[in-house]
Amino acid sequence: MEKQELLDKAKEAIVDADEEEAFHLILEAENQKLDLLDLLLLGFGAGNQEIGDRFDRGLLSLPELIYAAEVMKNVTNRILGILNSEGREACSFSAKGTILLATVAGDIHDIGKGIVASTLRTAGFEVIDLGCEVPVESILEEAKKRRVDIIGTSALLTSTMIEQKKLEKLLVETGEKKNFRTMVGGAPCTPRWAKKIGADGYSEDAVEAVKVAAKLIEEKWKK
Amino acid sequence: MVGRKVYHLILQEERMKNQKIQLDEEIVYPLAEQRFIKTCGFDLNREKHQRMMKRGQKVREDGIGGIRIQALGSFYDSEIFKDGRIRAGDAEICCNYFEQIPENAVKGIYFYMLTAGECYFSSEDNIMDFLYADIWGTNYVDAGIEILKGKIEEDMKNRLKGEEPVYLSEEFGPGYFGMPIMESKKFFQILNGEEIGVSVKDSGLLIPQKTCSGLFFVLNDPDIKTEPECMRCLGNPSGCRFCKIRAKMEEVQE
Repeated sequence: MEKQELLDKAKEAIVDADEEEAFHLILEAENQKLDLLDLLLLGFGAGNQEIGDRFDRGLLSLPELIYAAEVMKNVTNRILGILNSEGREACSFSAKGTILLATVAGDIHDIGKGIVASTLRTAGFEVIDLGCEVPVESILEEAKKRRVDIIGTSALLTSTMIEQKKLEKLLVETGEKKNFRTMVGGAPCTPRWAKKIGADGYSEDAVEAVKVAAKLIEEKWKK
Repeated sequence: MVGRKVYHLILQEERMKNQKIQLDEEIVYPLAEQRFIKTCGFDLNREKHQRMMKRGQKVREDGIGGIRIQALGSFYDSEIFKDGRIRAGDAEICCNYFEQIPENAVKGIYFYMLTAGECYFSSEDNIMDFLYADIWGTNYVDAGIEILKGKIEEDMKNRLKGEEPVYLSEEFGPGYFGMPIMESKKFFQILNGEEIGVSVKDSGLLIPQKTCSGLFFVLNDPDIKTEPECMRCLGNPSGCRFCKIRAKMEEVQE
Protein backbone atom coordinates (compact mmCIF):
# COMPACT_ATOMS: atom_id res chain seq x y z
CA MET A 1 0.00 0.00 0.00
CA GLU A 2 1.31 3.46 -0.88
CA LYS A 3 2.01 5.81 2.01
CA GLN A 4 -0.68 8.32 1.04
CA GLU A 5 -3.22 5.52 0.71
CA LEU A 6 -2.29 4.32 4.17
CA LEU A 7 -2.66 7.82 5.59
CA ASP A 8 -6.04 8.23 3.92
CA LYS A 9 -7.24 4.91 5.30
CA ALA A 10 -5.95 5.87 8.74
CA LYS A 11 -8.00 9.04 8.61
CA GLU A 12 -11.07 7.04 7.58
CA ALA A 13 -10.52 4.54 10.39
CA ILE A 14 -10.87 7.32 12.96
CA VAL A 15 -13.88 8.86 11.25
CA ASP A 16 -15.52 5.42 11.15
CA ALA A 17 -14.30 4.68 14.70
CA ASP A 18 -12.99 1.34 13.43
CA GLU A 19 -10.36 0.29 15.93
CA GLU A 20 -9.77 -3.07 14.33
CA GLU A 21 -8.96 -1.45 11.01
CA ALA A 22 -6.82 1.18 12.72
CA PHE A 23 -4.66 -1.45 14.42
CA HIS A 24 -4.40 -3.35 11.15
CA LEU A 25 -3.06 -0.20 9.49
CA ILE A 26 -0.47 0.26 12.23
CA LEU A 27 0.74 -3.27 11.55
CA GLU A 28 0.79 -2.56 7.85
CA ALA A 29 2.85 0.58 8.41
CA GLU A 30 5.30 -1.34 10.59
CA ASN A 31 5.69 -3.99 7.93
CA GLN A 32 6.37 -1.34 5.33
CA LYS A 33 8.76 0.45 7.69
CA LEU A 34 6.78 3.65 7.42
CA ASP A 35 7.21 6.39 10.02
CA LEU A 36 4.62 5.71 12.71
CA LEU A 37 4.66 9.30 13.90
CA ASP A 38 3.69 10.39 10.42
CA LEU A 39 0.91 7.82 10.47
CA LEU A 40 -0.25 9.15 13.82
CA LEU A 41 -0.08 12.85 13.04
CA LEU A 42 -0.92 12.94 9.34
CA GLY A 43 -3.19 9.92 9.13
CA PHE A 44 -5.03 9.27 12.36
CA GLY A 45 -4.53 12.86 13.47
CA ALA A 46 -6.23 14.10 10.33
CA GLY A 47 -9.16 11.85 11.19
CA ASN A 48 -9.24 13.29 14.69
CA GLN A 49 -9.39 16.78 13.23
CA GLU A 50 -12.15 15.68 10.87
CA ILE A 51 -14.37 14.30 13.62
CA GLY A 52 -14.00 17.56 15.54
CA ASP A 53 -14.99 19.54 12.44
CA ARG A 54 -17.96 17.30 11.74
CA PHE A 55 -19.14 17.57 15.32
CA ASP A 56 -18.86 21.36 15.11
CA ARG A 57 -21.04 21.34 12.01
CA GLY A 58 -23.63 19.09 13.64
CA LEU A 59 -22.82 16.16 11.38
CA LEU A 60 -21.65 13.92 14.17
CA SER A 61 -23.44 13.10 17.42
CA LEU A 62 -21.73 13.28 20.79
CA PRO A 63 -21.54 9.48 21.18
CA GLU A 64 -19.93 9.27 17.74
CA LEU A 65 -17.40 11.91 18.71
CA ILE A 66 -16.49 10.14 21.94
CA TYR A 67 -16.41 6.72 20.30
CA ALA A 68 -14.00 7.97 17.65
CA ALA A 69 -11.94 9.80 20.26
CA GLU A 70 -11.62 6.56 22.19
CA VAL A 71 -10.27 4.83 19.11
CA MET A 72 -7.85 7.73 18.64
CA LYS A 73 -6.68 7.38 22.23
CA ASN A 74 -6.08 3.65 21.83
CA VAL A 75 -4.28 4.19 18.54
CA THR A 76 -2.09 6.87 20.09
CA ASN A 77 -1.22 4.63 23.03
CA ARG A 78 -0.40 1.75 20.67
CA ILE A 79 1.90 3.82 18.48
CA LEU A 80 3.61 5.57 21.40
CA GLY A 81 4.07 2.20 23.02
CA ILE A 82 5.82 0.90 19.94
CA LEU A 83 7.98 3.99 19.63
CA ASN A 84 8.94 3.90 23.31
CA SER A 85 9.89 0.27 23.05
CA GLU A 86 12.15 1.22 20.17
CA GLY A 87 13.77 3.85 22.34
CA ARG A 88 12.43 6.72 20.32
CA GLU A 89 11.20 9.89 21.96
CA ALA A 90 7.82 11.02 20.77
CA CYS A 91 8.76 14.61 21.39
CA SER A 92 5.75 15.92 19.43
CA PHE A 93 3.66 14.66 22.32
CA SER A 94 4.93 16.77 25.13
CA ALA A 95 1.88 18.20 26.86
CA LYS A 96 0.49 21.37 25.32
CA GLY A 97 -0.35 22.65 28.75
CA THR A 98 -1.91 21.58 32.03
CA ILE A 99 -5.55 22.07 32.82
CA LEU A 100 -7.27 21.49 36.12
CA LEU A 101 -10.97 20.65 35.92
CA ALA A 102 -13.60 20.50 38.61
CA THR A 103 -17.35 20.46 39.04
CA VAL A 104 -18.14 23.16 41.56
CA ALA A 105 -19.37 22.77 45.12
CA GLY A 106 -23.00 21.67 45.43
CA ASP A 107 -23.00 20.08 41.98
CA ILE A 108 -22.39 16.46 41.06
CA HIS A 109 -22.90 16.57 37.30
CA ASP A 110 -19.70 15.45 35.69
CA ILE A 111 -20.37 13.66 32.43
CA GLY A 112 -19.75 16.87 30.48
CA LYS A 113 -16.58 17.56 32.39
CA GLY A 114 -15.48 13.98 31.80
CA ILE A 115 -15.98 14.36 28.08
CA VAL A 116 -14.06 17.63 28.07
CA ALA A 117 -11.25 15.98 30.05
CA SER A 118 -11.08 13.08 27.64
CA THR A 119 -11.09 15.35 24.58
CA LEU A 120 -8.41 17.63 26.04
CA ARG A 121 -6.19 14.63 26.78
CA THR A 122 -6.63 13.35 23.23
CA ALA A 123 -5.63 16.81 22.03
CA GLY A 124 -2.40 16.60 24.00
CA PHE A 125 -3.18 18.48 27.20
CA GLU A 126 -2.37 17.16 30.63
CA VAL A 127 -5.60 17.12 32.59
CA ILE A 128 -6.08 16.97 36.33
CA ASP A 129 -9.66 16.18 37.22
CA LEU A 130 -10.62 16.97 40.80
CA GLY A 131 -14.07 15.45 40.48
CA CYS A 132 -17.31 16.90 41.80
CA GLU A 133 -18.49 19.17 44.58
CA VAL A 134 -15.11 20.87 44.83
CA PRO A 135 -15.00 24.09 46.87
CA VAL A 136 -13.20 27.00 45.23
CA GLU A 137 -10.56 27.05 47.96
CA SER A 138 -9.60 23.46 47.12
CA ILE A 139 -9.56 24.25 43.41
CA LEU A 140 -7.10 27.10 43.94
CA GLU A 141 -4.97 25.14 46.36
CA GLU A 142 -4.60 22.27 43.92
CA ALA A 143 -4.03 24.60 40.97
CA LYS A 144 -1.13 26.22 42.84
CA LYS A 145 0.29 22.90 43.97
CA ARG A 146 0.21 21.40 40.49
CA ARG A 147 1.20 24.67 38.76
CA VAL A 148 -1.50 24.36 36.15
CA ASP A 149 -1.97 26.74 33.27
CA ILE A 150 -5.74 26.75 33.14
CA ILE A 151 -8.52 26.20 35.67
CA GLY A 152 -11.76 24.94 34.16
CA THR A 153 -14.97 24.71 36.15
CA SER A 154 -18.25 23.06 35.30
CA ALA A 155 -21.67 23.85 36.74
CA LEU A 156 -24.98 22.48 35.58
CA LEU A 157 -27.39 24.40 37.78
CA THR A 158 -28.15 28.09 38.00
CA SER A 159 -27.87 27.64 41.77
CA THR A 160 -24.31 26.29 41.58
CA MET A 161 -22.85 28.43 38.83
CA ILE A 162 -22.38 31.17 41.39
CA GLU A 163 -19.36 29.16 42.55
CA GLN A 164 -17.64 30.06 39.30
CA LYS A 165 -18.01 33.74 40.16
CA LYS A 166 -16.72 32.95 43.64
CA LEU A 167 -13.60 31.39 42.15
CA GLU A 168 -12.87 34.46 40.05
CA LYS A 169 -13.28 36.64 43.13
CA LEU A 170 -10.95 34.40 45.12
CA LEU A 171 -8.31 34.52 42.40
CA VAL A 172 -8.41 38.32 42.39
CA GLU A 173 -8.43 38.66 46.16
CA THR A 174 -5.44 36.35 46.58
CA GLY A 175 -3.52 37.94 43.74
CA GLU A 176 -3.49 34.62 41.86
CA LYS A 177 -5.48 35.74 38.83
CA LYS A 178 -2.29 36.59 36.98
CA ASN A 179 -1.04 33.00 37.35
CA PHE A 180 -3.98 31.15 35.87
CA ARG A 181 -6.32 31.37 32.95
CA THR A 182 -9.91 30.33 33.67
CA MET A 183 -12.58 28.65 31.62
CA VAL A 184 -16.20 27.95 32.44
CA GLY A 185 -18.72 25.51 31.06
CA GLY A 186 -21.99 23.78 31.80
CA ALA A 187 -25.55 24.10 30.62
CA PRO A 188 -26.50 27.42 32.29
CA CYS A 189 -23.18 29.07 31.34
CA THR A 190 -22.98 31.48 28.46
CA PRO A 191 -20.27 33.72 27.00
CA ARG A 192 -22.06 36.59 28.70
CA TRP A 193 -21.75 34.85 32.06
CA ALA A 194 -18.07 34.21 31.51
CA LYS A 195 -17.47 37.86 30.68
CA LYS A 196 -19.56 39.04 33.60
CA ILE A 197 -17.61 37.08 36.18
CA GLY A 198 -14.21 37.73 34.65
CA ALA A 199 -13.47 34.24 33.31
CA ASP A 200 -11.01 34.13 30.43
CA GLY A 201 -12.90 31.64 28.33
CA TYR A 202 -16.14 29.79 27.79
CA SER A 203 -16.88 26.68 25.78
CA GLU A 204 -20.19 25.18 24.84
CA ASP A 205 -18.81 21.72 24.18
CA ALA A 206 -15.70 19.58 24.32
CA VAL A 207 -14.48 20.43 20.84
CA GLU A 208 -14.72 24.12 21.54
CA ALA A 209 -12.99 23.55 24.90
CA VAL A 210 -9.90 22.32 23.07
CA LYS A 211 -9.80 25.42 20.89
CA VAL A 212 -10.35 27.78 23.81
CA ALA A 213 -7.70 26.02 25.90
CA ALA A 214 -5.18 26.20 23.07
CA LYS A 215 -5.87 29.90 22.64
CA LEU A 216 -5.52 30.60 26.36
CA ILE A 217 -2.22 28.71 26.51
CA GLU A 218 -0.92 30.68 23.55
CA GLU A 219 -1.94 33.94 25.21
CA LYS A 220 -0.27 32.88 28.43
CA TRP A 221 3.01 32.01 26.72
CA LYS A 222 3.03 35.33 24.87
CA LYS A 223 2.91 37.17 28.17
CA MET B 1 -52.43 -6.84 30.69
CA VAL B 2 -51.45 -7.24 34.36
CA GLY B 3 -49.12 -4.25 34.38
CA ARG B 4 -51.77 -1.86 33.10
CA LYS B 5 -54.36 -3.19 35.54
CA VAL B 6 -52.05 -2.54 38.47
CA TYR B 7 -51.43 1.04 37.40
CA HIS B 8 -55.13 1.69 36.89
CA LEU B 9 -56.01 0.43 40.37
CA ILE B 10 -53.25 2.37 42.07
CA LEU B 11 -54.11 5.69 40.49
CA GLN B 12 -57.81 5.37 41.17
CA GLU B 13 -57.48 6.01 44.90
CA GLU B 14 -59.73 8.94 45.67
CA ARG B 15 -57.32 10.62 47.96
CA MET B 16 -54.26 10.39 45.77
CA LYS B 17 -51.53 11.77 47.95
CA ASN B 18 -47.93 10.61 47.83
CA GLN B 19 -49.01 7.55 45.87
CA LYS B 20 -46.09 5.25 45.13
CA ILE B 21 -46.03 3.96 41.58
CA GLN B 22 -43.71 1.19 40.46
CA LEU B 23 -42.87 1.06 36.78
CA ASP B 24 -41.55 -2.27 35.54
CA GLU B 25 -38.27 -1.89 33.71
CA GLU B 26 -39.43 -4.45 31.16
CA ILE B 27 -42.35 -2.20 30.24
CA VAL B 28 -40.27 0.99 30.14
CA TYR B 29 -37.31 -0.52 28.28
CA PRO B 30 -38.71 -0.61 24.70
CA LEU B 31 -39.54 3.10 24.90
CA ALA B 32 -36.23 3.90 26.57
CA GLU B 33 -34.40 2.00 23.84
CA GLN B 34 -36.18 3.92 21.07
CA ARG B 35 -35.20 7.16 22.77
CA PHE B 36 -31.63 5.93 23.28
CA ILE B 37 -31.27 5.27 19.57
CA LYS B 38 -32.70 8.68 18.73
CA THR B 39 -30.52 10.49 21.28
CA CYS B 40 -27.40 8.84 19.90
CA GLY B 41 -28.46 9.61 16.34
CA PHE B 42 -28.09 5.99 15.29
CA ASP B 43 -29.02 4.66 11.88
CA LEU B 44 -28.95 0.96 12.55
CA ASN B 45 -28.53 0.21 8.86
CA ARG B 46 -24.97 1.50 9.22
CA GLU B 47 -22.26 -0.89 10.39
CA LYS B 48 -20.60 1.75 12.56
CA HIS B 49 -23.86 2.46 14.39
CA GLN B 50 -24.52 -1.27 14.79
CA ARG B 51 -21.17 -1.56 16.55
CA MET B 52 -21.95 1.43 18.71
CA MET B 53 -25.40 0.12 19.58
CA LYS B 54 -23.89 -3.21 20.58
CA ARG B 55 -21.59 -1.37 22.97
CA GLY B 56 -24.53 0.63 24.24
CA GLN B 57 -26.53 -2.54 24.88
CA LYS B 58 -23.63 -4.02 26.81
CA VAL B 59 -23.45 -0.94 29.01
CA ARG B 60 -27.13 -1.32 29.75
CA GLU B 61 -26.78 -5.03 30.53
CA ASP B 62 -23.85 -4.36 32.82
CA GLY B 63 -25.64 -1.50 34.55
CA ILE B 64 -29.20 -2.83 34.67
CA GLY B 65 -28.87 -3.81 38.31
CA GLY B 66 -29.04 -0.17 39.28
CA ILE B 67 -32.06 0.74 37.16
CA ARG B 68 -35.18 0.90 39.29
CA ILE B 69 -37.93 3.13 38.04
CA GLN B 70 -40.19 4.45 40.73
CA ALA B 71 -42.53 7.37 40.97
CA LEU B 72 -44.69 9.26 43.40
CA GLY B 73 -47.88 11.06 42.49
CA SER B 74 -50.31 13.39 44.22
CA PHE B 75 -53.50 15.05 43.02
CA TYR B 76 -54.75 18.34 44.43
CA ASP B 77 -57.95 20.20 43.67
CA SER B 78 -57.92 23.51 41.85
CA GLU B 79 -58.31 25.49 45.06
CA ILE B 80 -54.55 25.34 45.61
CA PHE B 81 -53.99 27.52 42.55
CA LYS B 82 -54.62 31.18 43.23
CA ASP B 83 -53.12 34.44 42.02
CA GLY B 84 -50.62 32.63 39.82
CA ARG B 85 -49.21 30.59 42.68
CA ILE B 86 -49.60 27.06 43.92
CA ARG B 87 -50.08 26.62 47.64
CA ALA B 88 -50.15 22.99 48.71
CA GLY B 89 -49.96 22.65 52.45
CA ASP B 90 -46.92 24.60 53.61
CA ALA B 91 -45.37 24.67 50.16
CA GLU B 92 -45.81 27.67 47.89
CA ILE B 93 -44.50 26.98 44.41
CA CYS B 94 -43.67 29.99 42.31
CA CYS B 95 -43.12 30.37 38.61
CA ASN B 96 -43.71 33.57 36.62
CA TYR B 97 -45.25 31.49 33.84
CA PHE B 98 -48.15 30.51 36.14
CA GLU B 99 -49.54 34.04 35.98
CA GLN B 100 -50.36 33.40 32.36
CA ILE B 101 -52.64 30.46 33.19
CA PRO B 102 -56.25 31.57 33.81
CA GLU B 103 -57.29 30.53 37.28
CA ASN B 104 -60.73 29.40 36.20
CA ALA B 105 -59.22 27.08 33.59
CA VAL B 106 -57.48 24.97 36.24
CA LYS B 107 -59.43 21.96 37.47
CA GLY B 108 -56.68 20.31 39.44
CA ILE B 109 -52.95 19.71 39.66
CA TYR B 110 -50.93 16.50 39.58
CA PHE B 111 -47.52 16.50 41.22
CA TYR B 112 -45.00 13.80 40.44
CA MET B 113 -41.50 12.70 41.21
CA LEU B 114 -39.78 9.97 39.22
CA THR B 115 -36.40 8.32 39.50
CA ALA B 116 -34.70 5.79 37.25
CA GLY B 117 -32.11 4.83 39.86
CA GLU B 118 -28.54 4.50 38.62
CA CYS B 119 -27.21 2.84 35.49
CA TYR B 120 -23.91 1.43 36.66
CA PHE B 121 -20.87 1.73 34.46
CA SER B 122 -17.31 0.45 34.62
CA SER B 123 -15.36 3.58 35.43
CA GLU B 124 -15.36 7.32 34.84
CA ASP B 125 -12.06 6.77 33.05
CA ASN B 126 -13.96 4.83 30.43
CA ILE B 127 -15.75 7.85 29.10
CA MET B 128 -17.70 5.97 26.45
CA ASP B 129 -19.36 3.69 28.99
CA PHE B 130 -19.90 6.68 31.27
CA LEU B 131 -21.65 8.55 28.47
CA TYR B 132 -23.80 5.58 27.46
CA ALA B 133 -24.85 4.98 31.06
CA ASP B 134 -25.80 8.64 31.33
CA ILE B 135 -27.82 8.49 28.11
CA TRP B 136 -29.60 5.32 29.27
CA GLY B 137 -30.43 6.96 32.59
CA THR B 138 -31.84 10.05 30.91
CA ASN B 139 -33.91 8.01 28.49
CA TYR B 140 -35.26 5.71 31.18
CA VAL B 141 -36.44 8.85 32.99
CA ASP B 142 -38.00 10.32 29.85
CA ALA B 143 -39.65 7.03 28.94
CA GLY B 144 -40.85 6.66 32.51
CA ILE B 145 -42.38 10.14 32.42
CA GLU B 146 -44.14 9.33 29.16
CA ILE B 147 -45.71 6.21 30.64
CA LEU B 148 -46.51 7.98 33.91
CA LYS B 149 -48.18 10.81 32.01
CA GLY B 150 -50.36 8.26 30.23
CA LYS B 151 -51.42 6.83 33.56
CA ILE B 152 -52.10 10.30 34.96
CA GLU B 153 -54.27 11.10 31.93
CA GLU B 154 -56.18 7.89 32.54
CA ASP B 155 -56.64 8.82 36.18
CA MET B 156 -57.68 12.35 35.25
CA LYS B 157 -60.40 11.12 32.89
CA ASN B 158 -61.80 8.81 35.54
CA ARG B 159 -61.39 11.20 38.46
CA LEU B 160 -63.05 14.13 36.68
CA LYS B 161 -65.49 12.23 34.50
CA GLY B 162 -68.98 13.59 34.09
CA GLU B 163 -67.73 17.16 34.21
CA GLU B 164 -66.51 19.20 31.27
CA PRO B 165 -63.70 17.75 29.09
CA VAL B 166 -60.28 18.19 30.65
CA TYR B 167 -56.76 18.18 29.34
CA LEU B 168 -53.31 17.78 30.79
CA SER B 169 -50.97 20.74 30.42
CA GLU B 170 -47.31 20.77 29.53
CA GLU B 171 -45.01 19.51 32.26
CA PHE B 172 -43.82 22.19 34.61
CA GLY B 173 -40.96 21.73 37.00
CA PRO B 174 -37.80 23.17 38.49
CA GLY B 175 -35.53 24.33 35.68
CA TYR B 176 -38.37 24.51 33.14
CA PHE B 177 -40.38 27.50 31.95
CA GLY B 178 -38.41 29.71 34.27
CA MET B 179 -39.22 27.84 37.51
CA PRO B 180 -36.14 28.28 39.69
CA ILE B 181 -34.25 25.06 40.30
CA MET B 182 -34.41 25.66 44.05
CA GLU B 183 -38.18 25.05 43.92
CA SER B 184 -37.38 21.34 43.81
CA LYS B 185 -36.94 21.54 47.58
CA LYS B 186 -40.59 22.56 47.86
CA PHE B 187 -41.66 19.49 45.93
CA PHE B 188 -40.27 17.54 48.85
CA GLN B 189 -42.86 19.18 51.05
CA ILE B 190 -45.55 17.72 48.79
CA LEU B 191 -44.02 14.37 47.87
CA ASN B 192 -41.98 12.22 50.20
CA GLY B 193 -39.02 11.50 47.97
CA GLU B 194 -37.42 9.25 50.55
CA GLU B 195 -40.05 6.61 49.78
CA ILE B 196 -38.47 6.13 46.38
CA GLY B 197 -34.90 6.71 47.48
CA VAL B 198 -34.68 10.32 46.38
CA SER B 199 -33.12 13.19 48.31
CA VAL B 200 -32.50 16.84 47.51
CA LYS B 201 -29.37 18.91 48.07
CA ASP B 202 -29.28 22.55 49.17
CA SER B 203 -28.62 23.54 45.57
CA GLY B 204 -31.90 21.94 44.50
CA LEU B 205 -30.14 19.00 42.89
CA LEU B 206 -32.03 15.73 43.12
CA ILE B 207 -30.19 12.56 44.01
CA PRO B 208 -29.97 10.09 42.24
CA GLN B 209 -29.13 12.31 39.26
CA LYS B 210 -31.62 10.61 36.99
CA THR B 211 -34.58 11.95 38.87
CA CYS B 212 -37.07 14.63 38.08
CA SER B 213 -39.99 16.29 39.74
CA GLY B 214 -42.75 18.36 38.27
CA LEU B 215 -46.43 19.00 37.87
CA PHE B 216 -49.23 18.97 35.35
CA PHE B 217 -52.20 21.30 35.41
CA VAL B 218 -55.58 19.84 34.58
CA LEU B 219 -57.15 22.40 32.27
CA ASN B 220 -60.60 22.75 30.79
CA ASP B 221 -59.24 24.33 27.62
CA PRO B 222 -56.86 22.55 25.24
CA ASP B 223 -55.86 25.83 23.61
CA ILE B 224 -54.23 27.48 26.58
CA LYS B 225 -50.82 28.13 25.15
CA THR B 226 -49.17 31.21 26.43
CA GLU B 227 -45.85 32.53 25.29
CA PRO B 228 -43.02 31.90 27.74
CA GLU B 229 -41.27 35.09 28.84
CA CYS B 230 -37.91 33.63 28.04
CA MET B 231 -38.77 33.89 24.35
CA ARG B 232 -38.06 37.56 24.80
CA CYS B 233 -34.99 36.94 26.96
CA LEU B 234 -32.18 39.21 25.84
CA GLY B 235 -29.64 37.35 27.91
CA ASN B 236 -29.50 34.44 25.55
CA PRO B 237 -31.24 34.94 22.20
CA SER B 238 -31.40 31.23 21.61
CA GLY B 239 -33.09 30.61 24.95
CA CYS B 240 -31.65 28.50 27.72
CA ARG B 241 -30.80 24.86 27.13
CA PHE B 242 -33.78 23.70 29.14
CA CYS B 243 -36.24 25.71 27.11
CA LYS B 244 -38.81 23.40 25.55
CA ILE B 245 -39.81 26.10 23.09
CA ARG B 246 -36.24 26.24 21.80
CA ALA B 247 -36.11 22.47 21.54
CA LYS B 248 -39.34 22.45 19.54
CA MET B 249 -38.06 25.20 17.27
CA GLU B 250 -34.89 23.25 16.60
CA GLU B 251 -36.96 20.15 15.91
CA VAL B 252 -39.05 22.06 13.38
CA GLN B 253 -35.93 23.43 11.71
CA GLU B 254 -34.51 19.93 11.38
